[in-house]
Amino acid sequence: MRFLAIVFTLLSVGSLCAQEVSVALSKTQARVGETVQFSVTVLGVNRIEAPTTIPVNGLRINFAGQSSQVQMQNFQMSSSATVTYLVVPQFEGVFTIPAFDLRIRGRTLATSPIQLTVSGMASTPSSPSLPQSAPSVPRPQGGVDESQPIYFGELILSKPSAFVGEVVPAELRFYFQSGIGGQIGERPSFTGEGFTIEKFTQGARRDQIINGVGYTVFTFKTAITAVKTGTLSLPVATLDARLQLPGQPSQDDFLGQFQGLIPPGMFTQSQDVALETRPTELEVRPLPTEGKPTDFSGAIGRFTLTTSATPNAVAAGEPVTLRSVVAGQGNFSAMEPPILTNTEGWKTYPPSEVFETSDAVNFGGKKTFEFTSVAREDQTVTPGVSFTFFDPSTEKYILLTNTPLPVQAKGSASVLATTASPTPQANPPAPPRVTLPSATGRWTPVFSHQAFLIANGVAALVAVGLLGFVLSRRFARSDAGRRAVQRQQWTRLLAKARACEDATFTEVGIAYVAARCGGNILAFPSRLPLLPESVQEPLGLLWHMHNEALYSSGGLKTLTPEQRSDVLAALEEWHRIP
Amino acid sequence: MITLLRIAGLCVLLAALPAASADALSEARELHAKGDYAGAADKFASALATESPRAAIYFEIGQNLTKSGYAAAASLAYRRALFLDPTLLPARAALRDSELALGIQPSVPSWRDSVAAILPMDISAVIGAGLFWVGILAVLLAFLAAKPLPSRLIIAVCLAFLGLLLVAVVWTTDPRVVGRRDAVLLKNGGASLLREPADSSEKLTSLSQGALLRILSQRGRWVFAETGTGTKGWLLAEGVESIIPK
Repeated sequence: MRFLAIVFTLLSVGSLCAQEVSVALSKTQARVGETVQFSVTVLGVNRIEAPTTIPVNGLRINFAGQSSQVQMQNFQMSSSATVTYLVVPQFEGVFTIPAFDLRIRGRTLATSPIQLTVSGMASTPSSPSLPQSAPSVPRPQGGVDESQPIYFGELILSKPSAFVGEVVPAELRFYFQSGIGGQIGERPSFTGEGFTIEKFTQGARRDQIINGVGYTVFTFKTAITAVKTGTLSLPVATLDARLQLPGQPSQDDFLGQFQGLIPPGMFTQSQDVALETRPTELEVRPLPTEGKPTDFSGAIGRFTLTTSATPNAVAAGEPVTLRSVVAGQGNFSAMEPPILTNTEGWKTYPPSEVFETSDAVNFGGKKTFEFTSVAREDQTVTPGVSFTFFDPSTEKYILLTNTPLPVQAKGSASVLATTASPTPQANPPAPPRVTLPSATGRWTPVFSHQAFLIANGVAALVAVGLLGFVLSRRFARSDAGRRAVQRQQWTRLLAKARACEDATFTEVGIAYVAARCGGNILAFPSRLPLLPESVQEPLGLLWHMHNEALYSSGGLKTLTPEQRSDVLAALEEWHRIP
Repeated sequence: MITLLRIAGLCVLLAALPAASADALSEARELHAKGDYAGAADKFASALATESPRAAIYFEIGQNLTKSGYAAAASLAYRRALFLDPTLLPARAALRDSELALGIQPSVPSWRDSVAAILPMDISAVIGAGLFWVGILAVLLAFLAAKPLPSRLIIAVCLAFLGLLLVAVVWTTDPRVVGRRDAVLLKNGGASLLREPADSSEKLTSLSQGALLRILSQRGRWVFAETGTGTKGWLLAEGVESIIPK
């Protein structure tokens, strides 16, 4: 039996670092040329920045890889990251791998120094951690360690005993020696009686050294729930794999003629194998009857309860939503909703449920229950909420309560009394007791009714007409309006002058002049010099004839056609002047 | 005022109701009393075919459908009752019960529902329009004077603004305007909302029976609809019933 002493040495390098960083050697004693695994593990992180080489005289240390791991044990989840180096001693002696710095999330943490004793003697082999039932497989001829199992599986339970109905996180691990390749099935086969199992979630692939032999480890996380008491025999879990195992060339192979010259591991053979775990037992105990509440929800684990209410003020008939969140770790799928207390004066409805998991196996998370409640009478507080569960760590039933929350809710007893029950009733109920309005309605709003549209159209027309009237009135009162009226008068008189007979032309012309002078004909002599010279003589003639008629007894004389033409032209020219 | 108008409306209605409708309603209520809820619902529906729609009849249809086990159809009837008379609080409570029975989270009344529950829509719209035009005409008449009185002008403008505001409130809260494209999914087992109008298209979400939808467009047998959560997609028109009857 080979015995490999795997010693993990945890050294403190400071108050903080010592609690987070650990270093370990797969062997504290090795022989020259033998590979030793040196690993640095940091708890609570999943990524480390580490140097690729560590200079030590007498040791060749090279970076081999990094892995991260999430573990669950006794309801506690923890993560860690591990950096692995391969150490090959060059000569005998006692060596110290010195402390060096790691970068984690921008922080610098120092490792601890660790000693390795190198001698010429071979270390004592041993394999205490390997399962006894590791499958017997054809031993490879090269590329793998013949003395160790090429592959094997194991089932890891987070606890050796549980209560019936309790969720026990579990992990199936399948190990393959690093020297072989191949493919594995999607998920293991694991069925049996007396328990239920969550669907498998494949974890991160990682490398692990066991007894000095490198293994690639595939993990599948799940959770097991026992449904009956007693010793539960968990059966063998099987994972199918097709492996590329080292082999010999066939006798017919051309290269086989060169046997002895061909290096080991050059040839491989494909083989379908089934990796099996060992049967495992789980001791399942019944839930204690002592102290078991009558309203036990069936929840087993560790939980917290928080409740909120929205809105905090509602009108009659409107619902208040009570949102209770049960968070923690345990059997969320089997738990019943919390119980509402102090529901007098409330009409409550069964809650809706939403579960949000925080891990891969539905073990941790939170379940939100939403109760819809309608106040029958005026209320100032909501119903209270209580929730009972069994805590397997203390083996006691725990009662969680949330006190009623303040709310302003108007009562709606009369409204609720009239509403129908969603389920058919055996006895014919009385007709609806509510006083219903008898007025007829319309599917079209009043906006699209013809009468409404006509009435508004008429009102709009009246408004538009009134607007026009108002505008015209106000325009007429303005200077511009007055000017426009005058202009219209002048235009009318000029048109009349153009069309009138010779006998009345002088009178019309005088009227135009008087209009241009604002009705005051006497003002004309003072305005005449301001007019263009071309119009002054004809208009002066017109003024002269007006005066002659005014101060003599002959009346207005008729202009000759030439004079009329000149005067009309003068009036036209004056009319063009504003 | 509203009560008086209702009483007046009731008197007019009672005088105008055909005898056949009254008989149908009586028969429906007798069937309800005998426990034949499905028959009563049918009878109420046939009564609606001969007279103007009434919120009360839709409410009674909803109650009978509920007792017959047709929660989705009942929710449609309650919604129709609320469209016709948003102040009918029993219909709102019964709708909530139906939605709970269907496993649908009851919709929390919006501010529109709250306003519609206290404001008679048509009357408010008429009053609003009247105030608006009176205000406008008063403004115009005030401008007829050479120097309009500021106080009259302010009162007139306020009247017009108040009327316009009332009309705007009715326009934005009347369920027959706001929800004119709303529909209820009556199909047993619900339906799938798809990305494209094809059976093989990607499924966006599942719709429960009784789900409220807003129909955005229609293409052949398919309708493009929006759910209450804002998801837009296609589903077959069969089993989708508009709240406002076609």
